[in-house]
Amino acid sequence: MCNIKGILVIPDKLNDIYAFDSIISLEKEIYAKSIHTLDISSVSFIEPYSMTNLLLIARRYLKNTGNRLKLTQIPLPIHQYLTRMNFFKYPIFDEPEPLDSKKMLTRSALSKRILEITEIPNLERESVRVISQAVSLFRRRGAYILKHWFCPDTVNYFVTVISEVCQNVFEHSMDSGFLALQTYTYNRENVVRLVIADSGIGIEESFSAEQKKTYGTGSALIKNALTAPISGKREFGYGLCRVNSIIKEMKGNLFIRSDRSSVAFVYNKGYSDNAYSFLKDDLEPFSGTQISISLYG
Amino acid sequence: MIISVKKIAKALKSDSPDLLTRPTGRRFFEQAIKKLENASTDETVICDFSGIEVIDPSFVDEFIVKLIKTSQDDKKPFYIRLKNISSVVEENIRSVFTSYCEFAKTKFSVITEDITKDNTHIIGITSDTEREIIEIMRINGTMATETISKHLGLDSIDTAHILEQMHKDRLVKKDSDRYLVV
Repeated sequence: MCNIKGILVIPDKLNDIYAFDSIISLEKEIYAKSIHTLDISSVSFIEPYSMTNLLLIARRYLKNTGNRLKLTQIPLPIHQYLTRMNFFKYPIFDEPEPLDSKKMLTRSALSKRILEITEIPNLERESVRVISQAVSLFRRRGAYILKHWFCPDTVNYFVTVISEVCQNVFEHSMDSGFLALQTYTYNRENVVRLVIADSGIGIEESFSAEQKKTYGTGSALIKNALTAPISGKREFGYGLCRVNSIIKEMKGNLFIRSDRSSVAFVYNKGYSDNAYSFLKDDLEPFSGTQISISLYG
Repeated sequence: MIISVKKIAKALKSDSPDLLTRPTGRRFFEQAIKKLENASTDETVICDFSGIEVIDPSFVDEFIVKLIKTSQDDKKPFYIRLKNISSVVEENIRSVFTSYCEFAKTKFSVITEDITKDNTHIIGITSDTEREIIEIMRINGTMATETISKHLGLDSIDTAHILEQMHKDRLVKKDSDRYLVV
């Protein structure tokens, strides 16, 4: 994957939350081979989970080395998309040559299928303000974003989800995070994907050693946080439980990756009340907690 | 007394239909407590959510759960009735109460003015008997223990015990040997 010194060629694995694990596996190469540039010429599509996690990789690189990673050989549609999503607004990647204004994606009403990348600060007051702004923007665009799933309460359900998951960033992660949302068509399927990701201490570390011991594996702990009123900070918690019950009601999918573990609840292909659940441990470490919520229709 | 949540929001310079996050819930609770200083003992406090679309579980915990716990303090008891709650607000309240009950191994509920999704006027974990009491009290306004006991076909001592607990939970009011609707 490393063809020219200092340049790492990124494979076309930014189109799926599970495929992104192969990018995570490449992160250690960045440091081992003194990589300063990512060649994304092979990338044909970036979905929001991969995009926000790419930002986390670059932010960690910036913290560790004091330098910004650079993206090169960016295909035009990818460049347009990243610019539209405010990917380069944050001084994390070395900003590439800006797009010609004629080539930029419009910000008309018809392009309001997204919530641009928004940083969730780790300071309480700032974070509350940002969450309120993000929800307010979502309210303005929600009917369009969720038009394939529309029922009167769908937007209100999503407001609850955005608020609860974003709060976990400043309440538990000890780090700031990113939010992004997009609706798109992939393989003839309409997808809406909400991503909230941070590179903080992760779910397992937010629980006491005793609590961790009770649940055994990281994935079992995450699964319990989604299905039972447990909390690492308070006597009991219910935010993730409520998020899970909403996604179940909406027959969506919920994926959480934290450090070396992941849990996926797949409600859109399950039977009646049962979901397919996939628990994984011993993954390549990736600090923090990354949550992807998807609806398909 | 009526506590208009929208008015508190305006006082706190918020015009959003959504009340989100723990810090926001804490600020609203502080405002509500100030208003409650003017309430009489045993007064019914109507918490009016008109104009509000969503309150998230964190806000529920910091505002509604704390209000209910405060109402159960014997120093100055009061009763809460929720009004004009949206269906998502109702579900979020129910979700928090269910989690709380699972954690604390106790019952926790609140009276509502409007009929809920499960055709009652209460949100929370309650028994069928308690729900039935709430509904007949709504129709009759005030009833003696003996009358309720006959209506339910229950032993009067058992009924008295249930009513006493419901009174402690602030789900019914009590006036000597009679019980009143909240």
